[in-house]
Amino acid sequence: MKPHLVSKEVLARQVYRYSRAYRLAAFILFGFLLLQVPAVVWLIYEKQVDQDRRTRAGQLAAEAARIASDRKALADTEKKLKRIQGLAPVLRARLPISAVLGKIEQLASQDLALSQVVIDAGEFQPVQIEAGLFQLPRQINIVITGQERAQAGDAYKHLAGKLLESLPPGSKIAETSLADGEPFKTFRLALNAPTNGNYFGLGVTKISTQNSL
Amino acid sequence: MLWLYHWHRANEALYLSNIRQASQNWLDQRKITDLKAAAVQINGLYLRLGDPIVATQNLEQVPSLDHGGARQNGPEPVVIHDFMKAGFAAVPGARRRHESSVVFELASNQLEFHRVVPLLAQEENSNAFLFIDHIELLRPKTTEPFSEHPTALQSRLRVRMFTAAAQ
Repeated sequence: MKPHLVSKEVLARQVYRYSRAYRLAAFILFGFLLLQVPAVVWLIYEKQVDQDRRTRAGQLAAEAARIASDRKALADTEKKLKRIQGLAPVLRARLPISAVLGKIEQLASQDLALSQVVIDAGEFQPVQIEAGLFQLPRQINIVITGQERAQAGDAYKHLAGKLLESLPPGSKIAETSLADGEPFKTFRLALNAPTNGNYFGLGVTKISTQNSL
Repeated sequence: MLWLYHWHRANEALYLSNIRQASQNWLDQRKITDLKAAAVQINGLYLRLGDPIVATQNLEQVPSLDHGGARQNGPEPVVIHDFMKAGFAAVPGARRRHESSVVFELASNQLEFHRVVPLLAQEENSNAFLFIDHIELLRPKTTEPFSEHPTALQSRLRVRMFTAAAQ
């Protein structure tokens, strides 16, 4: 009877199975195979994402083409709007003189009689409008002279104060003077107002407002 | 793995590109919606602004005071014509160098304050590019202060209008 007959192959296999090098190699092999699982998952995920994003890109491109087509139909309106916007500095710098005169008339009390009103535009600044130049005034100077009844008190100062409230923000009174006389005193007021586009105090509405004429 | 990483980067770039394109589309769509909504107003305003712009070829045909303010060869700007109809005399003023404008000096001794102001308002409303660079309203020395009689003022104006030289 042959006790425990073990072939060389079996021995060799046992050596491989239980030796450290074999185990290490097996560990590396299984580790590598295990690593393939997330890689495969990642691959599937990226493929799905790629597909979704390409579909979305196609949709956006189609939408952009439709918008471009719509925009072409509005090209004329857009051109007009650009031109209006180009003229905006001119419109903003124009302080309506009639509104200033109307406000002076409205605010002057019955104790005042105006003898002279002078309004001058000043501090001109050239502005490029399309292919041409236009000088825009940055300020207007208002000088009012007149007579005040002797018993009227400070009616001319009241006029200056009220007018200042109506003029655009940043306006200031440059001069107020009163010369004694009988039966009337002669006053002189000088005000400066910036042409900053805020003329609502004068009762002016925006030019784009309908029925503003 | 490197190939997967590059693919991932390409997908991220595509994602960002999509976001940019979507934002741009949204802005363009909004612009178009706004334009459509405001089209009537824009066309109306354009017409209103474009109408009074003075064509430069007519500038040399303006009447002068030497000829009694009569029209000689062609149409003057509508605003000036209106001023003249209201009783102002008009002469072309010195034009600033390189400026797209026409300048007129206007004078009248016939109009009262309550007629001058509405006239100015009417002309300023009709021409958004009418600039009154100088205005002087003077009560005649012969009229006493607080006079209750209608007083024709000595009115002097220098007006300037933006022209369509650039059109």
